[in-house]
Formats: sequence, structure tokens, C-alpha cells
Amino acid sequence: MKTTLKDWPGVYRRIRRMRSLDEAEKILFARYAAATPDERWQMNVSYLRSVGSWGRCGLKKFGSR
Amino acid sequence: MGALRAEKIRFQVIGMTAANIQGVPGSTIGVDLWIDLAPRDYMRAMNVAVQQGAEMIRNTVAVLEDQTLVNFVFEVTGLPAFGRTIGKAKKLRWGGVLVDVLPLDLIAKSKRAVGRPKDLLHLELIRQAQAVGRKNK
Repeated sequence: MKTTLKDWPGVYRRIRRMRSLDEAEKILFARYAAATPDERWQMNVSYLRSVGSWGRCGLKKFGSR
Repeated sequence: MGALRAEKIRFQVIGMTAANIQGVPGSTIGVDLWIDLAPRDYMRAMNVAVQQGAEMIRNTVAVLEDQTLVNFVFEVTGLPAFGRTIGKAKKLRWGGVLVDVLPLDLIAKSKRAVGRPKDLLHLELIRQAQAVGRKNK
């Protein structure tokens, strides 16, 4: 079944009894599981931009030569 | 990626980029592409990127106009040759292009072989995402 990010509450309901994840992790994994590949990548890019690690900054921050 | 295909250069998305677009919530600072070329032919892939407006900042790393880092990889630790893995790739629509993506079990195999601290963290994220995937079926 193809889902998008907006469908994450449904995924959350299916995984909410998983013992290996805490609540915040369940929400995070539910969002990623529901999202399309483009939405997943956008979440990655948005996060890295928010911490100033996107693009060349990422290479510098993570010590790549 | 469409430009690589137009040049008939086979590739697949690998590493945490591939894991991320398959639902693993790990961060990665660039796109790793496994290119079906010999390492000495790295300029063929790089020329395609440069023709698209990218800037070459290392022998195998280019930064695209939107600041996306692209890392061209020619062999992957822990995995057999490109030709023996491409048949197992998942086809996903990403950025408007249908691309071959290394499946999670092979990403995990490679990360186990590399074994850096960050790979062990990624392995755990992959394992958890696979468990979520099973519950979500």
C-alpha cells in the first residue's frame, strides 16, 4: 500500500505496541515508513539544513579531507 | 541521475542515501552513487555532473547547484561486483526519476563489513526500520 507522510498516524497505530522503540522513535519511524522516497529525502535535507550541515558545510563539519 | 542514464552509465543509489529513501530515519550529508565503471574512469561520471552545473570538489565528489553533495563510488566493501547486485536493486521513483536502489539487507551487509562506529549506529537504525516495516504490512 502506497502512503505519504500525511498517513503517518495510521502507521503509528500499527507499530505503537513495539517494545523496542520509545514514543518519539515510534513517531519518527512511522513518519519515515509512511512517507514517499522524496518526502523522506526532504526530511533529511531539512534536518541537515536546520543544523547548518547541508552542502559543503557538511564536508567541513564532518572532517572530510 | 537522468543525465547518467542518458550517457548509458549504470548506477545504483547506495549507503545511507539508499537507506533513507527506503524509510530509515538516518541522516546523510550527500548522495552516494555506485557507478558501474572502473575507478580510473571516474572522470566520465564527473563530466556528466559538471555538464549539469555541478562543481567538482574532490576526484569523486561533486556539489550540485542545489548544494547536494554527490559521491561517486566504484566498489562497495563487503559486496560483490556491481553486475552481481544490480539485479537485486529496488526500483524507486525519486526526484522524478525511476532509480535502482540497493536493498536494505545489502546495505546492512556492507555496513557490517566496514564496521565503523557510525556504521554500527546505521545498522541499528536499519534493523529497527525493517522491524517497523514488518509490523506495518
